[in-house]
Amino acid sequence: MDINHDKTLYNMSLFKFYFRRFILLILAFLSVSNLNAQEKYTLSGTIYDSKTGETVIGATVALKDNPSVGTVTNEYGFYSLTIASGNQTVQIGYVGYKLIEHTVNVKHNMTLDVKLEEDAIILGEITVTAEKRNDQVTNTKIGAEKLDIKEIKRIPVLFGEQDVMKILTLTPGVKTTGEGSGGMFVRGGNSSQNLILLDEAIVYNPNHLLGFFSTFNSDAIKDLTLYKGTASAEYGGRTSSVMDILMKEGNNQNFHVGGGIGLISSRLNLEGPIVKDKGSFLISGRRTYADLFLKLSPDETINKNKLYFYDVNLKSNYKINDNNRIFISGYFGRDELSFADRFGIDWGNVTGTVRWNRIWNPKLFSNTSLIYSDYDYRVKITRDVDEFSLTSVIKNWNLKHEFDYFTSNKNSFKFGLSSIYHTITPGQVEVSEESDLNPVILQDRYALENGLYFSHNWKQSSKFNLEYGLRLSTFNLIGRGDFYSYNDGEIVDSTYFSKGEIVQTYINPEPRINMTYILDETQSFKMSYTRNTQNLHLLQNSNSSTPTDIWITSSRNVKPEISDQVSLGYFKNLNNDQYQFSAETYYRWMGNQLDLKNGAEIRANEHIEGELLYGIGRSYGLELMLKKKSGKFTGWASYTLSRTERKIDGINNGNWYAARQDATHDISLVSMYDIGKKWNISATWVFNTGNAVTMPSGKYEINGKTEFYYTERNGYRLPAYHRLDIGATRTLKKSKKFESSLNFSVYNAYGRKNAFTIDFEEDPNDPTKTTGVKTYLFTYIPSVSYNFKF
Amino acid sequence: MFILAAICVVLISCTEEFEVNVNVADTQIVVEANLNSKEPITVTLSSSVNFNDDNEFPPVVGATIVIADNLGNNETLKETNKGKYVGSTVIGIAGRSYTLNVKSNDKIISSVCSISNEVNFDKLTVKVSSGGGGGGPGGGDGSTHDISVEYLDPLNETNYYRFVEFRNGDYINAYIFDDRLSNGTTINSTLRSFNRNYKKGDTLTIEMQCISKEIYEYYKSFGNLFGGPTNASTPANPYTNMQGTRLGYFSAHTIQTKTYIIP
Repeated sequence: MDINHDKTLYNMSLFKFYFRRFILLILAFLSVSNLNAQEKYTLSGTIYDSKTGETVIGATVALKDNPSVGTVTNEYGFYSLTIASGNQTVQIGYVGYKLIEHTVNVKHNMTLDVKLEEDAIILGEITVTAEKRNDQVTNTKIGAEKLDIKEIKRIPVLFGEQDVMKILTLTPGVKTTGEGSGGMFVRGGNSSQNLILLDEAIVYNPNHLLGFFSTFNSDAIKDLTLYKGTASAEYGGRTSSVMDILMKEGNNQNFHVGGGIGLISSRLNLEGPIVKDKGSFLISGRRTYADLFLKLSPDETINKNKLYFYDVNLKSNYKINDNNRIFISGYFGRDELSFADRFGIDWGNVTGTVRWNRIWNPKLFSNTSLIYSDYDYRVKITRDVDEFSLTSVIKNWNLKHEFDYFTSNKNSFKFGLSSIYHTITPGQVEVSEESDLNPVILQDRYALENGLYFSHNWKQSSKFNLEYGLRLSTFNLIGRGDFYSYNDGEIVDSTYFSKGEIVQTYINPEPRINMTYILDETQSFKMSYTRNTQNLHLLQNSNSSTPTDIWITSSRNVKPEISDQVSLGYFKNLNNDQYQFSAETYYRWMGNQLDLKNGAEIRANEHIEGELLYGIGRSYGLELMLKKKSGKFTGWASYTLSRTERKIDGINNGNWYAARQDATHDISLVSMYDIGKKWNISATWVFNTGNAVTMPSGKYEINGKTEFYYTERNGYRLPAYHRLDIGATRTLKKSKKFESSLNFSVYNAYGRKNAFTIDFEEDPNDPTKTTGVKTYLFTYIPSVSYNFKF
Repeated sequence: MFILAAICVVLISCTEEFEVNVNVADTQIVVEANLNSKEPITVTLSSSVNFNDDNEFPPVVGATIVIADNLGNNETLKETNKGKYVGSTVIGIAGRSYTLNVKSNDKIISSVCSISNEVNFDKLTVKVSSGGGGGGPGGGDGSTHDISVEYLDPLNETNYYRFVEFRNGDYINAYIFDDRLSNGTTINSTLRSFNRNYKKGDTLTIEMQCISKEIYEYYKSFGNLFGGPTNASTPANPYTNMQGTRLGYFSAHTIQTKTYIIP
């Protein structure tokens, strides 16, 4: 207890130290900008796509004569640029759009909203502002991957289902959790340490169909950025990565219908204006129909099985006036799986976000969001008179209030508050009256998670950019309920807390800093340090992610997980930004990591915290990426060399061992090629070192059976994993009114039998021997889908 | 047809033999010690072998084994067969705690186990299986008979049970239960098996054991004890209640048996 107390005191004093520094810095910058403000005015506005009316994120606005005076639109398309008075020519550009120039006579603060036109003539050669061209080099982003949603639609995938999470695993530092699995490991973190946000709402389980598909319908996605542990202070709550997904707003110019028909599922989306130029809506849905074919079977044991998912994305926005805009968005998805009325499980996520953008003045932009998110699952088992069902829910309400303050063209600030109220229903067992089982109602758990944050982006000179910030995370576990303390798995204390009483508080200051040193126009060095903490922990008693995994909060026994990461990167643009090269290295230290005892019962277990083991982890690596951005041939090559280890009390005799996430080598090659106007082809090749697995070193006999003797955890490797996927898209028709295309793909084109699991059993040919048996899931999977839009 | 074929590929995975190159393991003495309320203690000692060796496990001979209870009764076991040691005077009594000491060459192994209170084995029900049924957890199976057991779980204590199934005296399978979800009720538990094959005239014996928490943990932590899709946890040695070796167990428990002749 004393140690904790000291630690809290230490953290508090650390926080005070940082906070005082920040206040001083703010004051310093404010006074500087005031001094220079005499002849300067602010140009601000929103950048839109002329065809769809969607706001453009990351468009550049810069002076033609002096491109270093420039800015980038925020996630709502808003920009603010402070420039000298007089006649000024401003260039506005974005990849894939025509560069627009506006000459304005700046005499006072001005508003300039711009509609960008898509540059459809030559896809390959795009004119962008000088600022944008070198964005990769000059911005402070390190350890970040941004996906171009249009580009990824050409990459071949399993069953022809575009999946942003699978595409992300083709980038350096991101490893797939396994064949056919939608999860990902980022820089040595496990899948529950990824913060997955859909329009700011937390998505707890990003998988459909046990991981064969992700919950994100790429038709509804506008923008996706993955931060590999280097996110700025506005994000918090998970230690490994942030995947920030923004949904499309919907076309506010014309009505459109789009869709696709595939082997496994079909998609449909509708979008259009509510009031032209003012408001729009988008509805996008998907459903798989494998189960409809099961129904065709005359065999009752097959036609009674269920196996499907569906999801719906909804979004609507309305511009009340020039300074106020409202967004409402939602996601609803559900999976259902059942075997002949005997065993059933269904699960799903629900999220909802209401947002209000306000432009207070040309320099101050705010966004206020009220967010709801919910994940629940239900398992139902029926046998004779016994009916057994288990329900588990995790949900939260989140209020976020954030300001963007652009004090000068060198300084911008972001600050805000996020407050999340969590309710966790860990598991309720209901049984039929005739059953000999008792119903079990585990107590709900309540927690309040707050984040107070601040960050400052400072373009110190044309050579040096700095972004630093601090997030103060607080976590309160709140009654009512019985709370236990455990020592070595045995209960040593039990206390009842009444409603609203605070059971445990954790305060963690999380400093973050990103620095960019620009060597010249085409190359830079970047450095970052980030601390992240996590107060919700996922318990998995198997290697694969199952929908019935359980979330628990930090508590009297479970401390917040902590991650500290330092990274260093070199960025280089070649051939006028046609090629982008980056090399990053990182070292990450992970504290308060959790694992489960062998055979731990995680479902409906009041004393789950007594089944936990604690330890630490570390991960380090080198990530190389070479991208070709334009031309007929585009794509990238990525290579990761890394090591991830864990040290847990009670596992592997307390020694370091390779984590499940560990992969020494990880290579991805992604290529796309345009053949004329009708066809384009693509290919993806991946290679990674086999997963670290535990294999028996010896065997022995007990109770008349041969059992295996294990000497080390994850001491062996599965054979290397590699696979080639190829795809081709044929444009059938392309006009202003109607577009259609056919997409063909083959997954695992050379039929590599990649190991999914390894089991050991008696050799069928020689019962005195034991042999290993490998299970593999897929060899060749061809698929075809038809896509249309009108 | 094409679509159906694609779905079949999804639902059916394939297997293939896999070459295993494993390290050499250090040899462990494997202890299998059972003391129950009806018979004297039996202890079997054997050695573990390397993974690629034949399934022949050398017995450990010439060991000195002593069993003692918390009231001071003790005896030294006799080696009746190679690696098989039996006692004669010390019998398991509910509520008592027993200490087992094994000395073999320079190795010393010890363990302590208490016997829980006995819960009465009320009923054994054997039915001809309705058969058929699809796969999946909890689904039907190819077994010929459904077996269930019934007992009244005491309300004021935490109990752990193990049922052992014998066919004509041969060990078939064992099933463990706790009372976490059924404390204080009359429990009717189905002994689920996917490949039970009884013929007319076979003698089916079910032995009910009231076991200690440690022994329950031992059996539960065998990764391959339960079937189903959640069986993919990282394999590890089960938690043993032995000191001085990593493999084996010492179980002191009550036993009751019921038999049934297959008509």
